[in-house]
Amino acid sequence: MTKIRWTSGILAQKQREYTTMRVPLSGRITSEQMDKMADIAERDGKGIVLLTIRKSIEIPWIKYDQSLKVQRELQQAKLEIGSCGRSVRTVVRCASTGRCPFEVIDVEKKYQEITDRYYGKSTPTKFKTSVSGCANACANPYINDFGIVGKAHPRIDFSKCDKCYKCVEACKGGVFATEDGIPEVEGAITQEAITIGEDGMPRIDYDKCIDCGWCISNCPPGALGAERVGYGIYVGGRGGRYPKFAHEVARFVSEVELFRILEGTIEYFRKFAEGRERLVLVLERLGIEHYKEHVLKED
Amino acid sequence: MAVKARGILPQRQKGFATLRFVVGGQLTVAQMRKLADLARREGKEMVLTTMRKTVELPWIRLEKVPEVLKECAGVGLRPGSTGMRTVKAVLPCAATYRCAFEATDVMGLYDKVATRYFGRDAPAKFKISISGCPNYCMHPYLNDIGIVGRVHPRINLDKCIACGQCARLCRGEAITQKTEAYPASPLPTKAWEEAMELNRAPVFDATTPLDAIILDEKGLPHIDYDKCIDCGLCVRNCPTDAIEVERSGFTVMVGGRGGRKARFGNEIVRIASEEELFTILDRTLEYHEKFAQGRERLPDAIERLGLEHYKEHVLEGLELDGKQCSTMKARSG
Repeated sequence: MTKIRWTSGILAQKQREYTTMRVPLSGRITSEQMDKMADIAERDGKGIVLLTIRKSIEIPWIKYDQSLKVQRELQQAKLEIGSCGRSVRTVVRCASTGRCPFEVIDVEKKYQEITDRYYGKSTPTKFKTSVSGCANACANPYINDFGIVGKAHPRIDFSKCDKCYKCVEACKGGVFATEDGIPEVEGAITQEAITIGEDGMPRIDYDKCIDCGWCISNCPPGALGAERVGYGIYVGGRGGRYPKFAHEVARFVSEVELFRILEGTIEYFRKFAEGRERLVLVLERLGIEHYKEHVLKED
Repeated sequence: MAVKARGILPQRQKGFATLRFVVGGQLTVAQMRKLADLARREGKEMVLTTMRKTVELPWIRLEKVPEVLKECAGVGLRPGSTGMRTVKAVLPCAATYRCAFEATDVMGLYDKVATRYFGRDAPAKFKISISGCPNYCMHPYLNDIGIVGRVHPRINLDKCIACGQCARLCRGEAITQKTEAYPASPLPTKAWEEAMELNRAPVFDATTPLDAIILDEKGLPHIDYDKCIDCGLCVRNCPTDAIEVERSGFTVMVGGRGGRKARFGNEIVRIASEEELFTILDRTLEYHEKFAQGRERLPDAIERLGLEHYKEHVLEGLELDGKQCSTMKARSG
């Protein structure tokens, strides 16, 4: 019989004879998969599925002796159960999927790359990652072991600016009509990093700017552009019983750097964790400087 | 009310919208089939789930929106939770009567809270989450109001048979050891054997050990209430019901937020009764309405005016039972 990894995805229920099957999807499911899960839930479960906060879907109330059969059936619909135990858990992506007005990086692509490389890899204890498409940080990077946030650094081309000041409004969290007045998009939070200078041109206060790229999306003449696109990295957060916000270990790094740091962080975690200690506890014990020395320093 | 508040989200692509439905973390088979069908016909064969456990149907043409919403209404899919100035989808944990840790009736409470508050106008978005136990799965500290089910245990030594089960559970051992030794472990024995055979992980994760139950020289358990977090796991797994419920209720955390300006909320009540919980919820929404400046969210208002100001207005006259904590309990050991 094939060996099933620690990431097996079969969860115990309070009711002894039943189990819950967890299908990590990171928030996106096709029609075909949805139909398959509906069939299984109707036949083997209690006609419901549950959504989880890490965007997986769970099918509860599967009889224990049916679990392997259900697993095989799910596999036929390209649905793998998992995201349990001591491993890199499902990578949570924000709901951008190419349609969110705020998204500044290709969340889908990053999610796929990270999942292909790391999902299910064994670690001392659970290791949670999330990818947010912009600085709005919808996928809660601060309470993950490794949180990634897409960033776009804006620059103004004054020759193109026609002084409409939409960027100023955008940075204040103004309301924008995308088409014929409906539906409207509201800016997230007042950042107020863009002001009007003495020459009537908009000025970006880079100390206040969080590289969310909202001004870039809201510049009608296209005077605001992304000077560079990159990632902010947050390490060592956790949710649950003893929550802690992550450390911002990199404000703005390239894609290559991102993967170097992710690789380094997982290695660091494997090397220094004592027993089943979460990354947050390793950092508490050894200090963030120790981490930075081992992971961030160039060889 | 703006169009947005009715569950219609704009997309980057002109002419398309994403529809958001509030389902309380559960989908029925009929709803799933309808969503799959609509995604196939009107969307891009894709359904999204969100961090607040709503479902979204992206890539719907604007002119098709009313039609799609009508079809969805037929299977009880309610659009909503999109406005910037309303009480957003209430977030229940996935306990739904099957989780071994659930200390309160999460779905029952969800129905009451959602019926009473969901969709109400507020100065800014207002988020409520419900966790069934102090494992805090639904991040109560990242919501404007976080509700947590709690059970305060008491040991009746007359009934105790000194089996030691409670102490082991409290050490987080129950699921890492063989079950035969534990008569009332949440893990099914037969299932365990099968799991071992398959080299499969035995079921659910151990939580962080608390070690709040100490056995004396006779093997009788005693609870160290400084360490106890009132999760109730020992109460539910005592084979002789020797551990009783001293009192149960809800912890309330206030003023958290996720996202860009993430901030942890504060625990203002350790164990409140259901009636007190709803009083606090009512008054908190009133407080937000009264004191928020412009589109200010509750955490910002509390930060500006101070937690004491909030407590003065909201907790006044409530005779709250039991100890109160000003912040979340720090990690012990």
